[in-house]
Amino acid sequence: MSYSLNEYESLALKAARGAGLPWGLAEDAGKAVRISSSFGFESGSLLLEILEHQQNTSALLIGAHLCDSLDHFSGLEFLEPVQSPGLLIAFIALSVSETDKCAYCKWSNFEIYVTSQDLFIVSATGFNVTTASPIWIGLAEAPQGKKREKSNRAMLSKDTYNKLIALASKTYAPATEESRIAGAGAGLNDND
Amino acid sequence: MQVSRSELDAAKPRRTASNVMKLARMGSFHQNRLSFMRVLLRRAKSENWTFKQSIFDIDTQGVGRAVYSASTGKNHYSLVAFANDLPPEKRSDRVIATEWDATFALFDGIPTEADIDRLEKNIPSQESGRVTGKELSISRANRSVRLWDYVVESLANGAQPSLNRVEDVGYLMRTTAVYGSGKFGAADRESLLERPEFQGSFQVEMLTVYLIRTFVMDLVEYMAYARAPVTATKLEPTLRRKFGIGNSTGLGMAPFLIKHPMLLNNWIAAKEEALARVRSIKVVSPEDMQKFRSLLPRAIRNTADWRSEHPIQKEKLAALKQDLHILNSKISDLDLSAPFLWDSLYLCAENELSLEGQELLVALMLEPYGDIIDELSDCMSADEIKGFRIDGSMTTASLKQLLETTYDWALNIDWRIKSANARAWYVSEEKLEPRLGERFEEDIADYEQPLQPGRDAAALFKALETWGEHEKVATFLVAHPEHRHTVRRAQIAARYEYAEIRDNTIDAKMLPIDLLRAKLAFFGAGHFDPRSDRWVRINMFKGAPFPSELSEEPADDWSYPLLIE
Repeated sequence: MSYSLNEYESLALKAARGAGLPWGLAEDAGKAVRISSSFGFESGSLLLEILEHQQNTSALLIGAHLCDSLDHFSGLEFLEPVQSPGLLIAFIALSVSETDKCAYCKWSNFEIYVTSQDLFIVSATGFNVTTASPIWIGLAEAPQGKKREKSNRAMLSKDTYNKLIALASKTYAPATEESRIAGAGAGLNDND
Repeated sequence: MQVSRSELDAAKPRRTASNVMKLARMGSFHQNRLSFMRVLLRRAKSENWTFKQSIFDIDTQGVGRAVYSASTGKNHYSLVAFANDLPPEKRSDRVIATEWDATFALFDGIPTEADIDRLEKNIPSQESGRVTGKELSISRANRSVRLWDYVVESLANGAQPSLNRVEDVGYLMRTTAVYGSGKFGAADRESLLERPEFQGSFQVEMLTVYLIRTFVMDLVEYMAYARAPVTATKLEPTLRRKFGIGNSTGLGMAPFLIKHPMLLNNWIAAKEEALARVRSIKVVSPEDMQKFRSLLPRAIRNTADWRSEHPIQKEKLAALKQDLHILNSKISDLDLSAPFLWDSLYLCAENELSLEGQELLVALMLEPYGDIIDELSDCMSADEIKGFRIDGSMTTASLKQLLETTYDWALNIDWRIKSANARAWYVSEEKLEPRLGERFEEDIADYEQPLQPGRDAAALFKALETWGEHEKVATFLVAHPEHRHTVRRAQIAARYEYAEIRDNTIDAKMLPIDLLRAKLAFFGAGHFDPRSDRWVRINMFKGAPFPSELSEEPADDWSYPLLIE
């Protein structure tokens, strides 16, 4: 099913928070799926994998740190398996978004290049793998491969959507009559 | 285009964030030239937009569909309206309502019959329905019980409704939500940025409400005709313009300004830049002074027409009336040859007028100067992704320094005191809408949303105390991911002066209506009428020319009522 990017970002943020992540990383999770979707990648299952089996080697933690530390960017090799590596592309795209640099990211069956505007694909068949190693990230002189069409919509399977909704619902406080009256500020006649 | 503090410069400085970004002042903002409704109508007029009612298929009970289209020349947008015959017991402005008198979608283009059929299956149920990227907004409205039947009855009898009763309410329907930007599957705002008409803030929503107003007025006249085809008459045009569209806004909107710091900055920075430009005018021309002088009595009239039963607003209105009296006497004594008259007047107001009066003066001072300030409306949207990446190369010492500058007010609060930490923002599972609860009386702390930047900044500052000065923020965040959202926010607030509200948003005495008022004033609303400390009614487009009048009437002379009509 097709969702708006804002809708998906907001759902992913809440699902990540519902899964117990701190707010800041939940924001990163939302932005990561938004950016992935804007390049036409269906990232819901990768996010779910991270939220359901939280590991220190997730693309969310590694990607967020990588994005914070642009000065480390030139030539990285991850030998340990990275969880849901497909989500790294969002953080790489974010990292170069306000630069004139071109970054690459590679693992077996996967090779992409990203500039401030566009993403180029040499091979994307490995996008959805649960883990990959080794992974190489670095800067290139120029992009290679085919430019990816951008998308304004996010695609999510109903099953993934429902699982994210279930996680997101953990952020909601149970309704009480007390909160309905006091918390929302009602209690006056509004039918006039 | 972003407005950052370094890009715009004026001889007189902008007001500081520590002055402007206080809830009490934000809760006293008034509409001004840069308000979004006014921006929309100025553009529609200058670009000769055309409007058309293409479908009006409504039965004598008031049930059916209608389509109103706006054409910019290049693009078409259509309000698809579904009218309902709602039993009174089902009518509620609360977000938990499930049926409304009318529901709407703004469609991107001209809808086919199949599009309208699809929308008819989804729009009347609002949040339970689903829309697509072809829809730009979803909204709903309820009739005013006080006015609807009365106006239908009057017109059916061939009479005009009484001006007093019309002024008492000000609208025939009030919207209870206007959802844009990606909600329920609609198009994201970001996907429309290449269209000039949507580059400003909230232009989709403003166009939606403008077309809703047109539909509602046609509907009321049609209902009168359906009731008594022989005797029915239409509203007299001057009286017709006095109807706006009401809006009932609750807490759902309050966190918006906290969640969008860059956008908030750009709104405020544009207004503050506009004020600084006007205060920098050395010699005020007689024509510009005359324009101001002619508006002041209209503003006085507008304030006299402003009705509210809420004790806080009543008190503020009383002060505002007094302020206008003072201002009126000052204006008559002004010496036009004195340099920097506006600056002097503003400084004088800061000492003598209430915040309501000061902010109304700011709005009025901008009025004569469209030629130098209207362009600032182009700076009032935000590309928020530009503030998202955290600069992890910053040292922890720099981060601390940044917190001391931007969050000095928060670092001075003793957060162990219950009253400072009394509230918690949370989302209820019932309707997935933000609510504000009492932290020490309800089981809500575990569900707290990150809407208390002051307290979080103070916690971050404390966590940094044990870190060496030359450590990198990236390293700190690996150890303390719980502060990640606050670091991101603080770095935005350091770059964008007006991004942060400099007040405690969880204090026992915090008034959510201040947040609502600030946002609604930027929309262009007038006559803010709080119904509680967290719910406010407003009127939108009251006095504005209708689409059929736009080519003949001025597009931007409706925000203050005319004195002779």
